[in-house]
Amino acid sequence: MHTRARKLERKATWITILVALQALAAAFFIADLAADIMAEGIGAHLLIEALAAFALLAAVVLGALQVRGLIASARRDETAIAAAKGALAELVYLRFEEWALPLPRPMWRCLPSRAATSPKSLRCAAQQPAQSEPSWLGSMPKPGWIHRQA
Amino acid sequence: MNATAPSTRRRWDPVVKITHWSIAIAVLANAVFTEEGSGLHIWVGYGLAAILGLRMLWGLIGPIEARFGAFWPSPRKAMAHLGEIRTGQSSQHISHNPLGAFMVYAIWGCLLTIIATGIAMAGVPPIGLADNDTEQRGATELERSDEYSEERDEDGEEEEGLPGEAHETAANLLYLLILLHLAGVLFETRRSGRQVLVAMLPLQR
Repeated sequence: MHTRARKLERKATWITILVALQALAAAFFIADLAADIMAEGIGAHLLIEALAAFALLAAVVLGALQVRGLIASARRDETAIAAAKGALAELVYLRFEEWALPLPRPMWRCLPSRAATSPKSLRCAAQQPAQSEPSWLGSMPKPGWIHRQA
Repeated sequence: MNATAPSTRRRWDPVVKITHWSIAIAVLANAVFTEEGSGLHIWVGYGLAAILGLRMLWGLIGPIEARFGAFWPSPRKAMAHLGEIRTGQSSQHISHNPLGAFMVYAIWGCLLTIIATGIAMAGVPPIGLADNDTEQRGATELERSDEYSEERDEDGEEEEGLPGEAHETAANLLYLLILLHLAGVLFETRRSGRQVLVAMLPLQR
């Protein structure tokens, strides 16, 4: 999904380059049209040229709207990933709480703080001694300590 | 949830980045590399106008941080921002900071003045394409453009009139604003971190 957000952003960049080129072409055609009208006055040929120039302008606007849509999609994906990461972290915290285990040190950096969601339950878990804590975990801090620091 | 709401980290979208760098290249080209009043100078100016037009459109329909409303110039906010700088505080801005907003509108104002006065002086750009009539007209336009350049060289600045004066004054003001803009970016990067600078880099996500 993260890759999808990147793909969408890359696509938005390429379409933006195309839209910028269209804007340049539109400026060229409109300037040409203005010069022709000043030289010859309005005729059927110039009316068609004018239609083409305004179609190009409309393409610039539509292209810009498409780029906006792609950017919005990419950002939605990023938000969804962030939410999913948050949910996974929540699950890991819950499991450690259930098993009355302290959170291993390397995981502090990997998981987002849960203090903002429900610090109370973690503090409670920290106050109660672990039922069957392995000896190798004895020296490690309790989850409640982690979140008071966070 | 607003789908176009940006993250707290400042990050410019591809339209803002591409228009920013295209305008920078066009200004540099016309300031340094093209001859004043030449066909190429005029065409680069028209290209700049097209890209600036795209940025103006994006200011109306783009994501929230790119819209005009996100960085409307406000003296009150600018004073508050100066206060923050004095006290060493730093707050996050998803769009331009209040002082940066003034700079953006000042630069756009200069660019629009330069474009309008440029068109007033040079008229439609020289075009030499397609059929014989157009070729002939293109050649005439190019001659006219060359004559204009020569006249300028011979008679000096006074022949240009008000549009010429305004064009040159706005261009000089633009160079000053660009220097201030660069100084502001460096200062803000030192104060708030490299994200300010990185956010506008072309290949940075």
